[in-house]
Amino acid sequence: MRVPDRDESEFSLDTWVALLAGSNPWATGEHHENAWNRLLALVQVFIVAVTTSTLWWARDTQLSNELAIVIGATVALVVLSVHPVLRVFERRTRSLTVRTNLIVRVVLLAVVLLSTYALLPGWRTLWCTPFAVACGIDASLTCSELGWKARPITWYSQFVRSGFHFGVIGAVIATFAVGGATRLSVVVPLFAVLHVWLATAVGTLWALSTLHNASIAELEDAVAEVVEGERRQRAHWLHDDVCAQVRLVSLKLQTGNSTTDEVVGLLDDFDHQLRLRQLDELFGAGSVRIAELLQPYIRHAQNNGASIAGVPGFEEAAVQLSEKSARLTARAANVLTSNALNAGATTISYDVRTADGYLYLAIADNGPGFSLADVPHGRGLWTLIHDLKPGGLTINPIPTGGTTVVATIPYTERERLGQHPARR
Amino acid sequence: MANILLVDDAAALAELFGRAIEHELGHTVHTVVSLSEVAASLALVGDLDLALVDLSFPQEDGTGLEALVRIHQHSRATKLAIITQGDEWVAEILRDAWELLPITTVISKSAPLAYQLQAIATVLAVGWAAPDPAIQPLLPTKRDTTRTAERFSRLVQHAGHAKLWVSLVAVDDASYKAMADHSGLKLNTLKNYRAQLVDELETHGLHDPTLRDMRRFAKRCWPFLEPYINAAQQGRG
Repeated sequence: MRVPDRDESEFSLDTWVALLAGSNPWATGEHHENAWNRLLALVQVFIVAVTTSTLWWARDTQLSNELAIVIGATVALVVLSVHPVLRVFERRTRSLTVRTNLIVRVVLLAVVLLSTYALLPGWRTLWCTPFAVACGIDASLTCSELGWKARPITWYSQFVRSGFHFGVIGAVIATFAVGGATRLSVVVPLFAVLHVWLATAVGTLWALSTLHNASIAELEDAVAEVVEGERRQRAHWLHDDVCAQVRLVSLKLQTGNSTTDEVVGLLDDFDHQLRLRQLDELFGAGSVRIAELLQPYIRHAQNNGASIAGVPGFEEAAVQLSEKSARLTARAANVLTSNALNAGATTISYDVRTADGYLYLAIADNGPGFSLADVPHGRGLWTLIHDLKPGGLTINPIPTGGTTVVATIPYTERERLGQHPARR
Repeated sequence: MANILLVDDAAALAELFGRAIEHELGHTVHTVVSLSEVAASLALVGDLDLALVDLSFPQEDGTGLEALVRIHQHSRATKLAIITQGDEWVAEILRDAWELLPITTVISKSAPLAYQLQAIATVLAVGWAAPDPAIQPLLPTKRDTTRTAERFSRLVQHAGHAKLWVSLVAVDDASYKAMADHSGLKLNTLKNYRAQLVDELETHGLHDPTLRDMRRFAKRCWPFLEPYINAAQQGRG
């Protein structure tokens, strides 16, 4: 499927369209406003303010309609700076189409450039060179949004060798031939300023790309180091925990001290331990849904011969919990399931509700029930009662037999990565 | 006596489980341990009454969805069932299978053997069995009737959309630039194609998705997208 003839560094019409349309239409949420991008946007806003001031204070007051031109340029600069200002405050405008953005920005840029040359003719146009830095920053942000490794030096050299550029040189020579030195004194500064501006924008883009690539490389190294460490840790865990448990089962079988049922029980316990370890990894990853959180305990009850009479529905179980809420909920599920199994329950059901910042975990069983006052000190249930808020554990007898224990747990839903409210 | 196909990459476990089904329930079980072998085995084993398919194939570039779709395309009469760990890793694949295919039950790999065999017997007898309770919370209570396998055709309306999906799953970095380089399409064209698909992606639970979200979705649901991508590409040719 790959197109072999396409040169990724080629500066084509597509590249012009992408850069002139700016970063806004390409935003799809992958690249959030990090501090670096916000700083760049702030610099852009500052430069636009400086450019506007330069036009107002250094303008050629002999020019007819100069006030209308400077006001036009100011309006164009203000509109161009709307997106950078929003970026500084981490606000995104609605992603417009490429065509709309392209037309609007090209018109605004043309107004700014023509007004600048009219207000500051000749070599004085160079006073607005900082605006080219803002353009370079703009190109850098667009490349970043598109996932584009910018190659500004290559692009600039391609431009210099392009037919368009040779056409411009031809026009300068023709002007000299037709209009003589007087016309040339107008055209040469214009041509030189064009190159100074382009070189400034290209230099800015090159500097920012170099910095960006270096920071990406540094980040990749850091990530690789963390991944390597994690792998070593898991390798250690696999060896240490899994091998020890397998060895235990092996020895039990070799010494002939265990029945088949006991070995099956040991392996079921091992399976449960592995699931708890998996759950612990999910806690670490910061993303646990109630469905995944309850699974090990439902399976544990099932493997211990209990019949599962009810489980939470998809909607209730789809709630994602923050790590703190999830760990407390898991402890409650663990303690209450073990409590039911130890009391000889043969039927257990699980239910979950969330309301007003609390998660209600209800575990009902057909066991004999218990009183909170009789819970022995230091046991799992006793610790759980003390870790929950007062009244966090209630026991409700079921009229037909059995008990429902409800644990009330303060909960916060985990924010999805990249879904920070300020960034929506 | 029923004819059952068991698709699971855990070869030793599949072998033993297959034997248990044969011994306890008296059915014939054909075991396949690789996704790439499914097509060939379908031609060999004759009419199937039930296919039991695992969802996770970490050593292969695909999931159990691929096998389920292939078996369903081969014969609509074959009942489809899933046997899985049902953990977080497969939760989205499980939901896709549940919503897009006529899954008759979901069996937990960790459930007691008797429970697993009972589920198989019930499916063969009455055509359906309640999913394992440990897995049930991962399945929507009601199947979304608007989300169907046929509806994936709306995500590939022409060859340009096909190019978008192909490039999206092929590139390392989900960015317009990488996709444009891969597909030969212009950046603006890709942007427009994505915009055309955003509303339809809502049906599949993707709300204004990022390119990365779309890539994850495409990789997961590739068995459902692929026929329409092939058709669009052939239509263009």
